[in-house]
Amino acid sequence: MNPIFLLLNLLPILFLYQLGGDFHMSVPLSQEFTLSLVQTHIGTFFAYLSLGSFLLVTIAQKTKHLSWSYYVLQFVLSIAMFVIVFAGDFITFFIGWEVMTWSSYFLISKSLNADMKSLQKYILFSLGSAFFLIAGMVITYAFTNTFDFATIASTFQFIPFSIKVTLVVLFSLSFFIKAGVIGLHYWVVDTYSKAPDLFSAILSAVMSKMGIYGLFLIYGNIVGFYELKEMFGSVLHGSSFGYVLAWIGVITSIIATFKAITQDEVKRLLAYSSIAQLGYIVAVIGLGTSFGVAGALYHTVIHTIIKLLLFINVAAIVAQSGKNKFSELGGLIYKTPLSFVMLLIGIISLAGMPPLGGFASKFMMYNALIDTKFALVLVAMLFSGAASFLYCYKLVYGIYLGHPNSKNLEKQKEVPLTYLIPQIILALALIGLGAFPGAFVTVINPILKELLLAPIPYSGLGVMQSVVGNFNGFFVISAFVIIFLVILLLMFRIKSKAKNNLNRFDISYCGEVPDKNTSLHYGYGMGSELHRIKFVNAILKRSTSNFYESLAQQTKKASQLTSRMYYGNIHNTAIIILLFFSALYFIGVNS
Amino acid sequence: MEIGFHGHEFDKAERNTQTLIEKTINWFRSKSIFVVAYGTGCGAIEMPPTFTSRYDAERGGVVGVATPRQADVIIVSGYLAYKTLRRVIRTYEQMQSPKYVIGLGSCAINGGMYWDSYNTIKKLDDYIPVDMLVNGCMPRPEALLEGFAKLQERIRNGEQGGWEKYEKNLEFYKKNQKKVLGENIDPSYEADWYMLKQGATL
Amino acid sequence: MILQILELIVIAYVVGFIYFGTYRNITARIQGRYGPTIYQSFFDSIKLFSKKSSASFGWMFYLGPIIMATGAVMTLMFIPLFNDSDFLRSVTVQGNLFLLLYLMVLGPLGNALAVGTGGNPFGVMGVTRGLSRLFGLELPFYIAIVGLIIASNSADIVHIMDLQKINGLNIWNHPFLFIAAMISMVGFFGESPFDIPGAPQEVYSGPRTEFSGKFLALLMSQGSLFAFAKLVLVTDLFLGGADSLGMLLLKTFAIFITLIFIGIVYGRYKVSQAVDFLMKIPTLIGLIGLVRIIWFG
Repeated sequence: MNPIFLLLNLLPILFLYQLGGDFHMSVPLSQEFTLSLVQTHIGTFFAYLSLGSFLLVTIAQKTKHLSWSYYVLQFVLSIAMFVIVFAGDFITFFIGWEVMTWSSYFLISKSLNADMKSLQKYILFSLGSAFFLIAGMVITYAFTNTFDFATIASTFQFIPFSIKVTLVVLFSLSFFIKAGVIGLHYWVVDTYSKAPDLFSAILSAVMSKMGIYGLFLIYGNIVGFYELKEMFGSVLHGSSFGYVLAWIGVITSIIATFKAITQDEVKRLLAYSSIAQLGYIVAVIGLGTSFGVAGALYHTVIHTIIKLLLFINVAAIVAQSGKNKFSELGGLIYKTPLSFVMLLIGIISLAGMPPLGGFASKFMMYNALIDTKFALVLVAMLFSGAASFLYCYKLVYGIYLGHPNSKNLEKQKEVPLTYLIPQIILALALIGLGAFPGAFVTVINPILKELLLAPIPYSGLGVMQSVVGNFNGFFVISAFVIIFLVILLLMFRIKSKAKNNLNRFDISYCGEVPDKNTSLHYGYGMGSELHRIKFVNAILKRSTSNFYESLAQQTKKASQLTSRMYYGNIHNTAIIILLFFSALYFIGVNS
Repeated sequence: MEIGFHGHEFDKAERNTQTLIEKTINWFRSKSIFVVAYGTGCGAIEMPPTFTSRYDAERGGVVGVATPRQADVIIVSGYLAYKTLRRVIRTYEQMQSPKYVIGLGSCAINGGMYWDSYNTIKKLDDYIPVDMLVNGCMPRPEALLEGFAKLQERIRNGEQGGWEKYEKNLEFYKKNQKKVLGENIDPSYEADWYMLKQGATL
Repeated sequence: MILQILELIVIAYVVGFIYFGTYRNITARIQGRYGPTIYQSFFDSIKLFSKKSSASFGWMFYLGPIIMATGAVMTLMFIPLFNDSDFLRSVTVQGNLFLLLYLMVLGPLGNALAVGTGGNPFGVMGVTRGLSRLFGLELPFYIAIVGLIIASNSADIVHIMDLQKINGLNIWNHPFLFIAAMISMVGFFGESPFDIPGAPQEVYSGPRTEFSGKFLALLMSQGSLFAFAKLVLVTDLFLGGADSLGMLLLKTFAIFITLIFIGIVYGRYKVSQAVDFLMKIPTLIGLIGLVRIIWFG
């Protein structure tokens, strides 16, 4: 914990707090362009989310391991995100986007594990995202003569249909890359696993959410959900655009879930899980209904909390033990009990189990899909949720349960308090959201109003309402606690004596006595049997890496071909330059 | 005091002084017997017919389970080589009390036809406490069933089980076990637990 | 309310155990033997509760079965028992089918944690098998549930029950969904051919390997509660619920005996075979039903 930077990270939050919801600032750049910051409800929402995350991660960071430049870059990154979410026009947005890209690039490169390949992947895909963005910006400008969001939004419907579709696709691709939608997720897993352990938390919890914010900006603010539905027509009870997006999101989550199960490295599993969870958000964001948007926002919060919690937890364990693979970890439960409980709360929420916060967002998303009658998407989403139990279990078993896989784990101690404090805060948030799922509805409703959607019904803190029945989070969690305590008490009362804390080798092992050298941890093999299931194997054996590798090869060959032009002979070069300019001239004359 | 199979102290005093609750619980215990399905000797071949359709031990509540943790009874079916003894002791110690041992066949009583073998034990009761011995070479499933019936009757009457003897005379049994298995026998975690309870160190 | 919950638990405990006793008895008859009495499960349960000692590997191991039992009681609470009655209605209005779907897997997760703490590789193998099987098993079940929710435009079980009084039973209205759900149910009841997690011949009775004494007893008891809950759920969703206890017992027993007769004649699938099968036949049957609902009313 570095107190100076802790305070520095606190400043933007305080600044945001005293803004009071109605903030507007513009700096004229030239006669045509102005840079402007406009405070919106959705921007404030994402700003609190990201700034809060930065604060919590700063608490966990150890001073002696990190240089000043690291902190400064991280602060620049947080300010860049602040600019992104409050940008009032595309130029400001783009500046924020680019600052975010390079500051995060330098932060990742500060990791000891970072290698050239993963860094290149990251920067290439970020550039790709920026290019799509800038292409979209320029086309928008060509048709509306402005970069200002509000003006574009009011004139967007007059743009020709084909251009509108192109714009939506371009912007979507740009933000899909940041959110790691399947096919465009190639950079995600390597980057998350190679980045500094605590910075992975930022990457997964906050940076990916900038992609989600971008989608909200485009679909909600600029195009407008109503216009989006009009543009593409409707299927069942929702828009056909939403239907396509829902399938993209759900397929992302199914594929990423199965990939996550088979990973051996802890952070790779979390990275795939992050892709899967963002898939849910992408699936409901395009529905354009109140419940869809509310579900997406709710899940954004829940996912941010969970991923911060899990990544900080894992970072602590990795820092403590120096191991980052399931095949090397294990059996830490009684060595680091508090960490275990935190991770447990995290995975219960990640799996979406009822007494904790994770369920409320899933409930909202399922209801959104029921609302639009996208039954098959819903089934696929539920299926992905059921499959995710396996990687949740692998996460907790591989690290904390079973037997230690490495010798130095026997002497492990509880992780430092700096790591635990943010985790405890986040865990309490999850429990709180589990008990009072309705509390968040009051935050969402102004945003919905801003996006010109009907507010979702609100009745009490503990209750979550929906079109098809509601649930009472407070009742569920209190019933759970009471029943749990009653059964616990009864179990204590039963005379049968529990022989507590038996030796960990005292297991039924067909009459044999295992010892230190017996391989007893199953975490490594968990998920390998999935390859035998035909459907799952068909998913697992496919990979986008082949596509991108071959793309890289082709690009290499093409550039070699180009480089030949410059090779030695000045005459050829001159002729080519002449041809190029004459071609340009003819094009210019003809148009 | 009554003398048990091989002369250990055998407390019979509490037999007729059960309270009603104890009586009920003992009745339930007698009606449900889980047997760990571990074939130790040639008598293992008599166990499958006992539990399957021909003789159907499940009528009396006797069923097989896979792990010692869930079991009440272990059947030592016939001769017991030293190598198997090691595993039987471990399995027995992992069972949760009240637990019972049935020795099946003459070999479990006195070595039977292996009386002069170099690597089988002769008196099973020296190593783990036997609750019921079924004589024969091999006894038929009917005999085993009768053994079960007798065992159930003894449980119902609240008679002291072998497991209590094992707790009390643990050092005696450990000494005998060490005699045949060597000094470095398997760590017996459950037995340690009893010893620690009694305040002794192993 | 608390009194009613206790009542419910007692009913479920007794009925569940008697059903399991019946199950063992019928299995025995099919195999050509007498089998135990139908009260056998009570004997087992009480015996296990009265064991003098129970092995435990620390607090998580201790809490696991309790979480599982809590999950079972919660599941039971949120399923309405009777049509048009106030029995526990104040509880069931607090949640809907989505809540129920997730409550049903909460208990197994708690148990899986305990199994992991026990550290027996066979136990964890059983859990992994169970979780791998789960997503195969859930798929047809989810299709059936989602189909019913779409068809009755409500995720409220009481509402689904009420609608059946007007429109006729769902088993006749949506037979494909019913078949899909029933095939899943065979697996949820741990019947062959889907009894993969606890296969004693392969993984040493799987997740239950390390549990003894009162822990095993608690697991058995929650099993009977949970089984009853699942039977009532199917009754509510497809057979229109019941008006009286007698009717409820009749309907649940009819489902139970069907499941037994399916399960008893099959051998065991491997995990991959089971999931492959579940993802093909029952899923396809369910999808036919679902598509029928979405596009043809």
